[in-house]
Amino acid sequence: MSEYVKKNTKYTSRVHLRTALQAAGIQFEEAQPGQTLTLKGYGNQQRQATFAVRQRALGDNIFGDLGWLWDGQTKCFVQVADHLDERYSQTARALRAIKREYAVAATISQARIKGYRTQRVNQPDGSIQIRVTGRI
Amino acid sequence: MQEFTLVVSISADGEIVEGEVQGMHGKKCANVAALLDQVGEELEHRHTGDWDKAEPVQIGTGSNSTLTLGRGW
Repeated sequence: MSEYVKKNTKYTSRVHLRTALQAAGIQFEEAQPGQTLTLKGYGNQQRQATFAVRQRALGDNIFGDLGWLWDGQTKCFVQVADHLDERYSQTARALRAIKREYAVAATISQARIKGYRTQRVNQPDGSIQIRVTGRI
Repeated sequence: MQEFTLVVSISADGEIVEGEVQGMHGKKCANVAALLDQVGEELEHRHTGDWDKAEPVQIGTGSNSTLTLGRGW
């Protein structure tokens, strides 16, 4: 080993976030470029988002839809929800899965662009290992 | 050309991604580690023991073969 990098996952790519939602098996809607979708919250409060997961898709007793909206200042997609209690197990599981799959998508897509081989191993503890091999 | 392996570990909650470059040393490691640029915000980045080993140099011997020199091989 001669180089070590540690990162905190951030949703900076629309493409990877879409891939992550698909890979996590979450039913979602995506706004057309330049447009947003309306999320419904408690008491008919409304918020805008680029990606929307409707309340019924998560199943838990959350108070409204969940989504992600592009934030031009931080240059990443931020989570949007009227009220989100991550103690609800199904919602928490879904959010963890989306984040894991985002990191997978971001890593594998970059490796493939460079022509490197990738191998994904799902670990028993829920973590994921990806081995990227190639020549440089 | 050097062969490398980048081992990427993604935590169960997806929050933390760690990458270790193996089988390579020197500045080329940075190119490999850059594969994680789109994952998110960098928390830590360091070179480990092998990083400053000399990169191998290949010298043609004139008989359709090469001689490779370098401490890392």
